[in-house]
Amino acid sequence: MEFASRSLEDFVTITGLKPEFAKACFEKQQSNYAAALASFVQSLASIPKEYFLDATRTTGDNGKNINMQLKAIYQHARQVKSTQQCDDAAAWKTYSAPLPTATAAPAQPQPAAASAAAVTSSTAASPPLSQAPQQVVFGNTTNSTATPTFGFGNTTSSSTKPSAPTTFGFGTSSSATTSAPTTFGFGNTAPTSTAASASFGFGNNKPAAPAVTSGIAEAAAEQVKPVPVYAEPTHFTGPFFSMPNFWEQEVVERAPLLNLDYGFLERNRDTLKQRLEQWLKGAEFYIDSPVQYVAMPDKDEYYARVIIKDAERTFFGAEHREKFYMFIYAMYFEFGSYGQAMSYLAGLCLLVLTEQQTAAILRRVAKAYIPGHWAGEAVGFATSAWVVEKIMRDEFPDVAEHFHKLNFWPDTYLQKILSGLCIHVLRFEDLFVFLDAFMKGGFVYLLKFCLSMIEHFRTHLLKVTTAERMNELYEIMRLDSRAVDRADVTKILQRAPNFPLKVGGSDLDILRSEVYQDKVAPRIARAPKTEAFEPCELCEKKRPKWWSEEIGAVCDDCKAKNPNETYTAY
Amino acid sequence: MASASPTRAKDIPAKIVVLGESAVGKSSLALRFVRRDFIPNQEATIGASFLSRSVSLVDESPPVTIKFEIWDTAGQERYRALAPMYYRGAAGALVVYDITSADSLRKAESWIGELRRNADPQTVVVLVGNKCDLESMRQVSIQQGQDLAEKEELLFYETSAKDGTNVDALFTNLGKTLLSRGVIASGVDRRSTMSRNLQPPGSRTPKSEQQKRCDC
Repeated sequence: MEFASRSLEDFVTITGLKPEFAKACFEKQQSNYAAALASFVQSLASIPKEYFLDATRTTGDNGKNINMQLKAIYQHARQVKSTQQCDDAAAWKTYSAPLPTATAAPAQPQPAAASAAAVTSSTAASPPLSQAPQQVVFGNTTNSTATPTFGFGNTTSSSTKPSAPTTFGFGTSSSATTSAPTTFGFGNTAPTSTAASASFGFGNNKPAAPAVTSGIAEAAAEQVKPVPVYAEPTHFTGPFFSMPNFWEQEVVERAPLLNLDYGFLERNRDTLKQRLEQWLKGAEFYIDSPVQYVAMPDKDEYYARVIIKDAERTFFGAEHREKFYMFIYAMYFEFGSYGQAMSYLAGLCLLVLTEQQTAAILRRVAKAYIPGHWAGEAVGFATSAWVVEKIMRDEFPDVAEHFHKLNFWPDTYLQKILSGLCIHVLRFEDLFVFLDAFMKGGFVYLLKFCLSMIEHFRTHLLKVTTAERMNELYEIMRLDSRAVDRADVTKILQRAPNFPLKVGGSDLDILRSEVYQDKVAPRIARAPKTEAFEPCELCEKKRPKWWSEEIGAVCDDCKAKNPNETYTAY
Repeated sequence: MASASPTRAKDIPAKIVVLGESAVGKSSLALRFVRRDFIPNQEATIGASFLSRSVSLVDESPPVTIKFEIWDTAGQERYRALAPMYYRGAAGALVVYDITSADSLRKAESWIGELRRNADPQTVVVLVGNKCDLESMRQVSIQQGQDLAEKEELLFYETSAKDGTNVDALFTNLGKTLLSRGVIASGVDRRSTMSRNLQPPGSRTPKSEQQKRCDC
């Protein structure tokens, strides 16, 4: 693969960066395409969406191409280093020499995207080449050994290799130690745990977002996200209630989504649509954008599979499931993330609303009300949960302190309310009261609801004084029917809209920012990241432990099968 | 409010975390064990659920009762900053896969790796191949499960949350293993597993505490 002749335009094409940002990166690496690409990859998870031409798209096939290109880049760089007996920096400097042929496909025109995850940026430096090819992965990586790992995202290295080279990249340094930086990239390295989650990459020290939505990064961490192939829907896009078999098959038989119906739908069959249309008020801004349906050629792709599994746990009929998962799949691509709670609300809306109307409601909820809640890595939710705790400290300091002493953390018990919106928690009669109020009041209503719960159960909560009984706290705070009577729910629902919340508007934004910095960001910095490694060259599965000049990196088993080769520890 | 069942003082608490890919039957497995119930098409878990059940091991000398405090986690959610709060300090971890999904076994491997790197070293890990009642749809052979368990030195069971196959046996054997390895012990003044494990964000079990318990 020849990289020396690749231009800025090629770089724009494969990265999807806006030309001005691509140019900055490219020139930072002396117009060296290979180094610029490696640096870009290293920073991907931390690059703000607005740096991309189309932030709703994903790396997709480009990701595969980037992977292949980087593999070739590293292999060639190691060859250069080996041949010239030079150090890493010198090897990178001579990188413009022709590279061996590789098989990577040409870049596809789809632009890449990244989340606005907050990390620090780093200095320009040379990547280490002392190791065999490493795996290129999308997402956060942690390198717990001396082997440097490079990847699409933030790399945290705990290496103690004393002579590790400095990093090279596209930004300013945040490296706090001299021993750690075995990573390279244009951008973002987090060699110490305290370095992460402080600012954006790309050399800009912007303050961290208080409610970062890291769905794309999280999805990328699972695996390369497929490129969306937009297609016309082949399913019925109207309401479920308009489908001929839906009532008998799902309502009468009580589909999983409707397990707390208790006759509500029957009683409200004629008025439910009118009621849910009220939810569209305030969501008009979101309704004009058409739902972009996406073909699902590979039902085993990670999120496709999860979404299909969720559809199977929502409705009985094959036709209903397919309609449901094709709609959810489209919304997943639109939002760049998916959380199973999203399908709960979508399922209820779709009973009587069209997919276009339902999309408008989901957009409003996901983007305006609870951003970052519906994602695998739900940082927005964690921030919201700690906001509840923070306000609780003012409103009910005795309860807050009581919870604190018991290590009863809000982000372990508030998911069903703040993300699940009480679906599968409250009976439909109560649930729709809750949802009516939520659609009007948004996140502020959720806060009021949580605080009304604490107010209502305050005496009971304080009675749980031993850790052995903490399950009772969980049952109460999750409104578990085994611990909470319907009369309790009714009183909370009545109280919530009138709860005298003292903060709101910009104060709430400041509060979110504070709890993100104090509670969430440090934990993200310390959280275990996905360990990444390039698998054995032979079996392509196991972690390689041995290096052969002839074969490359191989695992124990494959080494045993090829005893005549010369190996060194990898 | 409904009344809560009391906890007997002599029960030995054992925190168990259930991990694995989405829709492999984690919640069903926990519900089968705790409530002896099976709900077809159980809705997806949001966040995590907490369940508990006490089991008497009468053939132990002296007989003991273990209170399994089970954290049933959401398969899709991978909030890495939160997940350790569930598994850190756990006495046992069930890493569940679906025998009808080869990919779920691969995901199980990643969970095992994460536990190895981040959970307390004495945590007893059980690899569980669930849905063994769906033999005709099997994608993962028993041998594959056993091989992985042997390689990683894990306990291994194939279970069916639907018909209850091996579910009680799994927990009973897990309880015995926890006792035999000294991960839990009767008469030992242990803090509650929940209190011990749901530590402030980012905190870890001190090495000094880990070293107090041997892993033999």
